[in-house]
Amino acid sequence: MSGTVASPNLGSSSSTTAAPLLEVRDLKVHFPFKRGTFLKPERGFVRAVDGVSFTLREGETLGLVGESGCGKSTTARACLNLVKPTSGEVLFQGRPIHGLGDREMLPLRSEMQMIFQDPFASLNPRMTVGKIVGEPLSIFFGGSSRRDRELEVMRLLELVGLNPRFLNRYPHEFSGGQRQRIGIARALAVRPKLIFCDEPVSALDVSIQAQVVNLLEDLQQKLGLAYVFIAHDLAVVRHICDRVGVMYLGRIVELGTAEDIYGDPRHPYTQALLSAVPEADPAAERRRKRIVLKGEVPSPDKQYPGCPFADRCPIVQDVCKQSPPPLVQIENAAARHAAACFFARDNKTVRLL
Amino acid sequence: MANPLLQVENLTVEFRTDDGVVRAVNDVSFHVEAGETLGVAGESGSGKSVTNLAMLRLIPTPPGRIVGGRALFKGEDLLTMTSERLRKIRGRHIAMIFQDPMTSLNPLMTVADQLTEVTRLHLGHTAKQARDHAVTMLERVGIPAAARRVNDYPHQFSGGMRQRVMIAMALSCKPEVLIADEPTTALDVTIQAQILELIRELQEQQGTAVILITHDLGVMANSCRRVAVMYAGRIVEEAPVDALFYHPRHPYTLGLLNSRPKLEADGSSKLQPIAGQPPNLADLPAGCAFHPRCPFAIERCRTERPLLRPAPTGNLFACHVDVTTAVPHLPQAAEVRT
Repeated sequence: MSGTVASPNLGSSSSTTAAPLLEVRDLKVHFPFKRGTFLKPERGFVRAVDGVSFTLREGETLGLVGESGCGKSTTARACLNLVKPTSGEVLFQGRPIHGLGDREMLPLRSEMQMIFQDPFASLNPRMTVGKIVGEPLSIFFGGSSRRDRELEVMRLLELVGLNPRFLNRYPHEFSGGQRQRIGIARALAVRPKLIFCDEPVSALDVSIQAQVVNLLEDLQQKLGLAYVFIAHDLAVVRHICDRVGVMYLGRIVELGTAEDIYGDPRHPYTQALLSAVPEADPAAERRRKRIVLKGEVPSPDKQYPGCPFADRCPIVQDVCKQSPPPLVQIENAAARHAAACFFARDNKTVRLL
Repeated sequence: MANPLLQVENLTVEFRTDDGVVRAVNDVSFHVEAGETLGVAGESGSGKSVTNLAMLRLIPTPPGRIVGGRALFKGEDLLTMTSERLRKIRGRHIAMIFQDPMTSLNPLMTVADQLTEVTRLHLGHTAKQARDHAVTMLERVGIPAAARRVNDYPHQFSGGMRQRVMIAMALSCKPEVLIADEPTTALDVTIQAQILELIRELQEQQGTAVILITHDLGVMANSCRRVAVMYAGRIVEEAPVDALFYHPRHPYTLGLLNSRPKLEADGSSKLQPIAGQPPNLADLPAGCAFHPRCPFAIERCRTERPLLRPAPTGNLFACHVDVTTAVPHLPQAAEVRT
């Protein structure tokens, strides 16, 4: 199997010795599939997540970027124990979460929450806002009185910038941005330490995206939240994240601070991805040299003996097709800037920004 | 500039809804010339898609209704010509690419069937000619093993490949105007770069005029020569691309540009969102529709709708205020919390 295991202290702050808030060790999620005809069945595994490791400190924001199907969302789901990993470990505050039963998992659910992409599909249309935001309260703080819960819901609505008097309205009475605020209020109700934000702004209009991004930043400051921020919008990720992991075919191919990833990208995929994002600056766009990758992301149901990016890589060498490059610290780069590429040390030719 | 290829004048489209009659497109005028790309920007519900659908008489009627205006293609009005005549132009001279390649191809027809349908109808190709042409088109849009894949069904293609099939179909009759409605929104950025590059190449080879509808300002800066910004069914600013990005004159354009994080900026500075929510078309504010969200609004904006006027930089903008000198204040929508 692949040996993409990050060196243990990669990413986490070396100044604190306390266990990180979240630690993911060589996580793999493989989905079995069966296809083909009755007479010629074909069996195999979709390697949605194939050896992901990272750590997250309290109050920190880690971005996971990559194209559709690269395993960003599955990684988040596995961290929340919503899908069962094939192998690997997820530790929340030093405690492994897999293998915990539903009841043992319950207290952890109040520590880790999720905000979903589609604010239209993720709110029950038959429940009022008060019920939607109040439901987690009655599950986790069942002892409190109804009046207390209602006051708490109003406080939460206020916190996310909604009028507390909207308590008895239904989701359809709100616009997309307001619905996303309701989803955020619901996640905050149980006072989590960590929120997985899965494409929280990509379904929103441009003028509204900034409102929600600012809200997430304000809440982080006020409440000391940590975020795992999953998005394909690289500009938003740069804005909100402290560190960024770039994913390709179920693996993290580059991991570092936002500054390093955007200012000094070393993996050829990161470089191509960044060069593909058009910027709102016509003159820069005309000057820009774009690395246009050939082909598409290959299917995750095959196993590659070498680097999964080899077929599309502009700097591929023979060695890349023999064994997969591990995610390791880049020799002449900033501390804790890691890439899974044999040539990351010298691949500095493309200075994008 | 005497006779643009396509000229839309005072187009107005209404829809009957439960909340009453809604003007989705209100007195919209623009033109596009051969070989140029016009961008149409705006939020969902701003009327950018309806404008282009209405032009080709593709809106469902009822509930939709074209209330007024003209859409002149080489001097002929698309809105009043006979359906037979329009059918000869649609798909042949003016083609369209839709946002969602998953739903705009027929899942029960092979790609070959769908590609040959247009050329047999419009160009009178024989079955053999049409098939060869289909393979050539698929090769041109970069589909590997085109001769074999032409027999596949849409579900056998990935999203990016399906969008290429759509483009191949739209371009197979060498249209003079290509309307691309969010052609890359459903795609990943590396595929988006490939598709935009492809549209540009084909445009250079064939001199096609392109109307590119998108809400992505980056795509706009990358691909367009001129840009029209729509808000609440109207064009509020139209300008050459550089003037729009470097000298925006409408507060809404300015707001859109400021609310985007920049790729090269670190996260230390706060984003400046536009206050409030997108307007409800059934209940538009009086005066300028943007005034409740506008940080430059003055008393006059509440009562009198501004008309498009020119700026020295080449912009046409609909605003009473000069944003280059005016001092912003807290907009109304920020005071009354929504």
